[in-house]
Amino acid sequence: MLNPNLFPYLLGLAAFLFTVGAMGVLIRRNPIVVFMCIELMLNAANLALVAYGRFLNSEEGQIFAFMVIVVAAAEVVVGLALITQIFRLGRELDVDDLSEMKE
Amino acid sequence: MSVSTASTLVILVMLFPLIGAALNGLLGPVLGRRFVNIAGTVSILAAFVVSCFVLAQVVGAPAGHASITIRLWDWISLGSGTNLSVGMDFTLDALSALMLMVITGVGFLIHVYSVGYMDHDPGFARFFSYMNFFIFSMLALVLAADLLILIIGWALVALSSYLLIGFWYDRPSAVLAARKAFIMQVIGDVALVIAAFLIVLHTHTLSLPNIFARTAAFPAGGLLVTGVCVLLAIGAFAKSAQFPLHTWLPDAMEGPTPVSALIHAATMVTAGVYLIARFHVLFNLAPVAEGMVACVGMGTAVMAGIIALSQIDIKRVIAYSTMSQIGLMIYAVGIGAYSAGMFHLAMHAVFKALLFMAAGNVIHSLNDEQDIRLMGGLHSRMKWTHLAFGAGSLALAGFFLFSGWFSKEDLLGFGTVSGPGAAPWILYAVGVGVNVLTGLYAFRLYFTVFQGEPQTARGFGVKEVGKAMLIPVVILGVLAVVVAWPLQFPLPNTLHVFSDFLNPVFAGAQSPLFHDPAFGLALIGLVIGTAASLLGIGLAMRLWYEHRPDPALVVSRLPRAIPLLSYNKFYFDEIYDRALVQPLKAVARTARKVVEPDVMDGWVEGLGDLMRGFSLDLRTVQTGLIRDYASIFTVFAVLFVVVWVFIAR
Repeated sequence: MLNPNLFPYLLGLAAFLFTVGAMGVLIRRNPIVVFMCIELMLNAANLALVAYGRFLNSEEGQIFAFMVIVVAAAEVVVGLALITQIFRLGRELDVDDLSEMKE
Repeated sequence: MSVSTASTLVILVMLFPLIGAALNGLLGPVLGRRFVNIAGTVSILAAFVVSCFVLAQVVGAPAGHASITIRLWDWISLGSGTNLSVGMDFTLDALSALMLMVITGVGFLIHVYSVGYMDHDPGFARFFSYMNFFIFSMLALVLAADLLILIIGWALVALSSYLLIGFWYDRPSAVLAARKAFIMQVIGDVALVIAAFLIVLHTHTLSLPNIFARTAAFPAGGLLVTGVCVLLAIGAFAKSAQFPLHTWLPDAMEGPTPVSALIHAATMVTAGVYLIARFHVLFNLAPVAEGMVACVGMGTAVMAGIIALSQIDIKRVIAYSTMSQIGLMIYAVGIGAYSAGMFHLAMHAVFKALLFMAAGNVIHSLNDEQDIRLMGGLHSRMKWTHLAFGAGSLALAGFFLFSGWFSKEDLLGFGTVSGPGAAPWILYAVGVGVNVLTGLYAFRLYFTVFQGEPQTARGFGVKEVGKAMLIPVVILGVLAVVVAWPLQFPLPNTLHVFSDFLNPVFAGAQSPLFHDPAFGLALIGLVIGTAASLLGIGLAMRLWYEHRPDPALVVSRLPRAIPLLSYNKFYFDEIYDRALVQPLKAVARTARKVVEPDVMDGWVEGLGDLMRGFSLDLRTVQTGLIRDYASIFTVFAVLFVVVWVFIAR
């Protein structure tokens, strides 16, 4: 049995990881790093879900965490495929450079 | 009279002219002149025959049952009980029967006359369509037993008048005259509608019999009933060309002459008199409004009589004479002498239609010459027209035993009017003056046009007009002499067929201003009135027949203001132009130059500029940089959470 007093710390850790991930997404320009940061945010969310599930004695938290892991895996597949395609076109790997859609 | 008989008669009398209007308007141009001539006149003849049946029914009805109100169908039903309900209600009584006879009888003769008058006009089908439609509208107006139906008829006759004044729409002056007539009549319509609103507000009904039965809603002499009556009177003044809404009538002479005879002499312009007579129950409760009506009527009679003395257009002289005579009728219904006023209406319809049509003959023969200074000496060249015009002039002037004499001498009300101070006597004296004036202008016209020598070469070769135009004129000429003989004698306790016929309509509501005259008073009044008429005719004879003294000499001795005022119609057109038209135009110009570009365009374009600037600002947000979007997304996600968790809870 986990100590209930750990709950705020777990949530705090999740929030910290999420913030780090979000900051990474906003600040970094390399798409691969951005991707890693998104993974970090997803996992922070997973941590929060699991912690809630544990402390509320409910399975839904864990089930949602698995769901998120599956979605994250699919997302990584699509995302990395996009990145390799962009790389193949000979484009520089820079998120700011990929702004043709604004027109 | 049973309800079903009355319904049949009402439907028939209104249906014939309506069918005539539709046939002439839709098929006339295809089927040609002969068809239009027949359809146009026969429809009115049929209506006249039905009117005769109506008259027989009303006359034959037992005493107290001469009035019947029928409902053809429900039209507007708002709830039940006291709530508003409007039906296609029509009344057959002595008053509406009289109006039917005048409208369809005189109307039929004028339609026959039109066949000759419009012989060479390419717009014959349109003309007869409008004329038949006018008859229909006028019948709706006088038969209506519901104020709403009455107002519809009231507006439709104005429309017909507009269409017919502007019949020759390629003449700018005719189009302007038509507009003027329509606009001034609409002023009256508005007053009438406001009166209807006031009535429905206080009696919860628009049905005329119900309104007259619920006079408890109108305290006698109170502000409310006075206001309603003044509004009704304004409507009547606009329709009947009374001061201050009179300036449209002379201009309306731009229309074809049969139109002037039918609409602007015999029927439509007398609708105001009919309206006041129909609403006598309300007017009897408002002596102030009655006095106002009487004063306006008499004032218009004098003013129009003075103007008629100096006009040079033959039709305008007769138009001002119409205005003056209607002024007398309005005066009569104002003082409460309803049957005398209606009698003069009927007689006037006969002799004024006659005068217009005879004038039309003259104009036609002289190839559209209307200036009386260029006429003269037509008596030997147009014998029948001359005789008829002479009879009409004598009737108009009130010469002894001509129809006008019977009606006019009855109407001035010598010693039978009560009112504040000397007002009734002043009005009476002015009325006698109008009698003199009538003789003067009627015979100025007659002598100038028919006596003396032709003033132009064309005048020597004038020929009498064709039969279609002559026969109606001659019929009306005979009627103008004899029509009053079996009907009425202007003394009490003598022949009173007409007033006995009409008085049941006005029974039960005696005007506070009027009481029936004693024999002696009536005799004195009759002698004074007859003497005044003869004086006018005699003066006219001296001035314009014998030229002793010459009229120009007389005018030069008068104060300069009088001939100027008369010739310039008291400057009413100029006053209205300065006081209303020019300021309105100035306002319109200001609006065009200042309000439109600066204010209206200002805010419309300002709004556009605002939106354009706003969207320009907003567009810079769309950078195409994913990190920017993500930042915005994050910021708003955080904001959302903060608001959701910490504030909204």
